[in-house]
Amino acid sequence: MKKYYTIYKMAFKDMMAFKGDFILSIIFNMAFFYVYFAIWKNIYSTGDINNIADYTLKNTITYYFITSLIYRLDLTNSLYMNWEVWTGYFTNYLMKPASITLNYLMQTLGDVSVTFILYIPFAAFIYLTVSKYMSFPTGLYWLYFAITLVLMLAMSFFINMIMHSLVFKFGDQENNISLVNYLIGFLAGGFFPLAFLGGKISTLFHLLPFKYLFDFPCNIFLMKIPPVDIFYGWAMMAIWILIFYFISKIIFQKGLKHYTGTGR
Amino acid sequence: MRKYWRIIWISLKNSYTRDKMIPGYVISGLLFQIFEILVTIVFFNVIFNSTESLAGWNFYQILFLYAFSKIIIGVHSLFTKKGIQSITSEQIRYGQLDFYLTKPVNPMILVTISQPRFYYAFNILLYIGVTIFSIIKSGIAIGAMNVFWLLFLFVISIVLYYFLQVITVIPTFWFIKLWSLQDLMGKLNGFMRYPMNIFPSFLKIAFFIAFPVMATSYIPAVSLFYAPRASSIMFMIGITVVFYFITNWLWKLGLKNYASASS
Repeated sequence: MKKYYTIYKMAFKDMMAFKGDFILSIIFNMAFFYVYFAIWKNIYSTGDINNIADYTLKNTITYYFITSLIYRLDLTNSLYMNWEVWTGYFTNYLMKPASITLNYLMQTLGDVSVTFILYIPFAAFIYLTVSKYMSFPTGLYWLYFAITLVLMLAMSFFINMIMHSLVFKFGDQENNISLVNYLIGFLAGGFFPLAFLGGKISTLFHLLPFKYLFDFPCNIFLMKIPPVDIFYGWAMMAIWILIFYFISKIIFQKGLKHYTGTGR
Repeated sequence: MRKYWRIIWISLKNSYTRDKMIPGYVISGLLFQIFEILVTIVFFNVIFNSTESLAGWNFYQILFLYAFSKIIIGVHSLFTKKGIQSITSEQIRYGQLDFYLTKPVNPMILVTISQPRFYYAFNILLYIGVTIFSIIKSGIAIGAMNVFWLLFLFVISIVLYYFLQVITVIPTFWFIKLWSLQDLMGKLNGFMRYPMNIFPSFLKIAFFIAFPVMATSYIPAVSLFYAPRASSIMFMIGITVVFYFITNWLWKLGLKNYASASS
């Protein structure tokens, strides 16, 4: 276990080495929150609307606040397998006495830990600027939310591993990874609460596993989901994690046979 | 001026040859844009399910504003995005800017137009289609003068957006590794998609006057849908001239700090 902790620590330190650059990127990413804040504040206040699909203005702004937090845990830019296979750097992992999957998991965790920690002061800044439009959970809901984030990270990791493993057979997947993550963000409720869709399309989105990445944790934070449904959601997440894990493992093992170690 | 067009033409031809070799990359890039349009239309539908207008703008006007901003971004992605990004990622860090400094042309222009990506031309065509569609569906009577001012201000916007883009990467001269600046404009583009009046005052001051990224799409779009106002047009011209001087001054200041190889 110690070697995996070392990998985590190295990834953490590596990210911290360029934290100035990193902090800048976080500041720029805050722009998205303020754009959505402006849109929804305008809609609720000019239309004199109390709620949309059971979401008050406070709920909606808090929802976007939490999505901005979850986007900091996004693995799109933290998993480097596609690039490493494509350039031949991946050979290093084959020579080391450690699980490749766990190696990547620890690296990505090191990356997102730094992102998450450095985001805290900026989250505080957002809170200070728009605090009257936000609400926070109480009691056990903080714990439910934290557990859901951990499961969400695991699910996101294996979904990304599937995409990255395609590089062995189909070459550079950079564009496809961005495309798929963008679509998943949309299907997961990363752009707006899924309840806003209404009708059959909302039902369809809820049938997909991606809602567990954004919509589900955000609604836990908003205390819109009773504990029984949260436990059911966790069970479903565990099943999906296992499914994505096995798919990624199969694609990875089959793909590895195509790896020549020469890079592009 | 002619030599710059020749450089652009040669770089574009090279880019076309390169993009021809990677059809998968080009197709997935185009697919991304198509999905982005679809997702945006769904998002706008969600917005307009709850309201009839956003700061007085209807669904198709907002769609126009979005597509118009994407055309401006697309033109820059076609000609200058890669070149400007390379300033933050390699040109200064590895001293590769030397190559451009030794040429008998403006190094700022040369380095920024050095890496066009031909395939973005397809994205531009896609967004032109969306703008035409949204103009027709907006139900607003548009005169020839409105179209004239839109096109005139579009050219001004392209120039202004270019200066803003260059300004965002100039800090790299002082802070060698600032990769996050590569896509700073990408983050700020969100402000170009919506009518200015939805934003709180501090954001309007920040992004309409101090760093006028909002103005690049909003003022031309207003001139298309409403009676063009001389004050807005003068503002656009004036602020573009101001940013021309600011950009050139900052670039020269940055160059003084450039220490060539491995700086």
